[in-house]
Amino acid sequence: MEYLHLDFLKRLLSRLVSAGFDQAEVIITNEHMTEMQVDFSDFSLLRNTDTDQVTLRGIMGGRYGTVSLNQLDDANLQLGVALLQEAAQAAPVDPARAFAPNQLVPMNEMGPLEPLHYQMHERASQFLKDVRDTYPECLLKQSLLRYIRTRSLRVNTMGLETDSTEACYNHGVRFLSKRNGKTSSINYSGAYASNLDIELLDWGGLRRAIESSSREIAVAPFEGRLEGPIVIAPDALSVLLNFWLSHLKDDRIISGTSKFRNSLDKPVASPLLSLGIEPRNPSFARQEFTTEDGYGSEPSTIIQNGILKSFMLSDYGARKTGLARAENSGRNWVVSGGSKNLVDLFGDIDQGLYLGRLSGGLPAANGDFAIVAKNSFLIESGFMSRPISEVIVSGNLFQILNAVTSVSRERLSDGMTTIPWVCVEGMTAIGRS
Amino acid sequence: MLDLHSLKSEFSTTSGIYRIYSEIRYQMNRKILLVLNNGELETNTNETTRGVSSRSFTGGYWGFSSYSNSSKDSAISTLRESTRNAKFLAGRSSKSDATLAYSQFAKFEKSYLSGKSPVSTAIWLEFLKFLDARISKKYPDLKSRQLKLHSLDIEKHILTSDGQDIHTIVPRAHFTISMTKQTKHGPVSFHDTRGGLGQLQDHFLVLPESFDDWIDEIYQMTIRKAEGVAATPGSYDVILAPDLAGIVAHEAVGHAAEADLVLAGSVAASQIERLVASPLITMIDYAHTFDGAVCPQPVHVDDEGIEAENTLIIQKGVLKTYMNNRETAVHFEQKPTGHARAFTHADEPLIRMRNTVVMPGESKIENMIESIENGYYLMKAGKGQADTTGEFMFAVGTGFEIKDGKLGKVIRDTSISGLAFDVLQSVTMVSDEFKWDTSGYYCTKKQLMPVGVGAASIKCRVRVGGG
Repeated sequence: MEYLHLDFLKRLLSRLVSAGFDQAEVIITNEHMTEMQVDFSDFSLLRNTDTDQVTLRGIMGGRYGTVSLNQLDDANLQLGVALLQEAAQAAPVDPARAFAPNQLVPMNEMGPLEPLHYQMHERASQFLKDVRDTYPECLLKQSLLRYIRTRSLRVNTMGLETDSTEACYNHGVRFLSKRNGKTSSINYSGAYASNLDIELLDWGGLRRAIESSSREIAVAPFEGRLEGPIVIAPDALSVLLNFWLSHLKDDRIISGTSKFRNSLDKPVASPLLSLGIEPRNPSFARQEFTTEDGYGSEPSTIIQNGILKSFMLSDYGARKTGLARAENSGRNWVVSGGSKNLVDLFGDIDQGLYLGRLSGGLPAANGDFAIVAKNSFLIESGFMSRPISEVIVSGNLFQILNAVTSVSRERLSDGMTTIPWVCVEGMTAIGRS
Repeated sequence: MLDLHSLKSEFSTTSGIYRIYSEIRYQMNRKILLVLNNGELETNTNETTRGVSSRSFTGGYWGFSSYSNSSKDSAISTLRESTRNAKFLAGRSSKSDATLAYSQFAKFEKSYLSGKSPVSTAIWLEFLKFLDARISKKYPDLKSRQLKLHSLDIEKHILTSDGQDIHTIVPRAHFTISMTKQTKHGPVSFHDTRGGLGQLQDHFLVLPESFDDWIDEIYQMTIRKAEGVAATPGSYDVILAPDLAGIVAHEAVGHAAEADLVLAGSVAASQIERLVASPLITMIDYAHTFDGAVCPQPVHVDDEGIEAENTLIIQKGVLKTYMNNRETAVHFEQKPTGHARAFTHADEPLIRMRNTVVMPGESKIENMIESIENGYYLMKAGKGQADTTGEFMFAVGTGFEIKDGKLGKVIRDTSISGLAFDVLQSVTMVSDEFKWDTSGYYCTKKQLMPVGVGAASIKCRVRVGGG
């Protein structure tokens, strides 16, 4: 494939310069995916996709444009150059637009460079057998075992040249448990791995989730109202954190709707909470070599003991606001573990709720949210006493992250993030009335 | 565009011990997205994604392959690889009795392009800037404004090994205006969207001043919402306006009646010919035409070459049928009615709804409001989720209190939740009005999919979350 070569990108870059662009950038990605799909405990589909994408970016007289295509023949590339000219000419002059400078970004390769079909089938078959033998009440709705390899090349008129390949396996499962006609709520689990050495059941939190699912068969509607402590599981916490972190990103910071625009180096969360981004953490199967802007990815600290240490701005967002650019794209979260074992974290609670998964809408712009608690349990006298359904949990996201009272020592890693369990006050659980 | 006809000879219905069904699809998705935030251009995307894919079925297993390179050689490669993939699975397990429903349909061609010439990006940006300047000047008290133009054209050419030859082009375009007002409770936002079937020039190539009334309405609702009250959590009699009722019906009931999810144990399993909703409820997934007019997302033939027909899901409260693809139709011994659709060339067809409608009844909306002593009139769905157990939860972005049979204060963002069939069984009134949702709804089920959603207003009992 001749287009997966820096010389091809450089020739395309020359065309952009010849077309009148003062600065330009060319990015080509090629993604290969192999997917083995199981529906209802049997294989159903083997799918492979090969996807190209070329992104052309250009600045002409301070006006910026971008165009994406997925055809790399000459006629389409010519059309892409013309569309880029049109886009840039239509855009307003924006001095914040620029491209990453020339820098030392090593050519990188990570992960298995080819999918192992037979081993994928073997692992998936073993997974089906393990579930059948060990967890006979578990009903698999769908299991997707994927191999994903992405090669990304970039050149720009600042002299930047990067070429990296990232590959990994991903396994995602939807399931429930059933006994005597009664079923649990549906649950999901997903994780990344750099090889197929470990049984799929032991990837991420899958085994724990399936075991919990079996207990959830006895689920019953929650009655009444609870304002006690709530233990938030890593999956649920990641949903809340994702919204919280959106207030540190381009959209909200540039538009002025961020809750934290003026909070750098100020307390924004409980002192028990620390969150860093570790794009090159060797324990992660899904790492990051370069940011979406083309800078080499480096670790960063977002929250340190409750203090906001950095925003998560793109290069453009940083230039636009005068704030610092993020050192990475912000996907490899590492939330620090706390001082308590999970057993002790639960042991301190007389009556509370274990929030396994959240279902429903996003918090409102002011942080208020009301979300259905799924795969959740009542906590009584230090133990998860019984599974509950039809319970709505509400609160204010910004307030509850200030109301973290303990963080577990144990953390769950899905091959891309590492997140503990946390206990918070200030949320209200309301059952069926 | 790749001419697929030259590939007909590549189909092989048998290969050794295997009987093989195959389809080849060329597809192009063209997306335009322009976003202006507080007068500044935030996004200017012009994205074309095209490619070719094949799917093959043998021994009860599917193989699939796709390339974004749309050459004839790539198309032949996808066909060979999809066959190889299906054989790989079939060679390791046995589902030898699995068969597919076959289609008598032959050839179909339909384009919904109007013939109006496309307008350049520069003109659309000027259009957005002009409107933004008017909003900014007239309503300087707003904290932020966002104007978004979005269009998606999907072109598909499909050949199947049992003789179908389908070529369709379906475009849709939408325009969203969002406003945010700062309050003592934090920022409060309101947005509204217009558009539907067609391209940007079909909907919005009019004098910008003609949007003034709409802009005023959005501003007034933003202010009323900023001054609004929080909904009090609890179970209430509510009226779900068409935008919300349609989306709840689609997500919480429609998905449960998709045959692949029925096989996975959805709440609709074993409920055929049983009363699952109030007798006032009739729910139909329309293929392409409703009440003599083209639906927002018309499907005439699906991606398996099956002719699309209307699917009667619930008739007067009774569950009548599931939505099927070729494979599940055989399993359930039901007729396939054209629900298999894929979002991009690289996606395999899945069972999807097309234009799901909660049919109008006989009640007047005024009488419905009058009948509620203490409840809510809920209008617009935000993000939400439903699972196949029927439990659902949706954010509600717009609504009013109902006190003593009259609309009261606007409420801030809240949510509704419940069990789908329980909520449908609680329906006591259905309005005689009908409205298509104009938000440009995308359904998510492994892949995105543009769908049409429409409904009457329904009076039912749900849990209201509270903000």
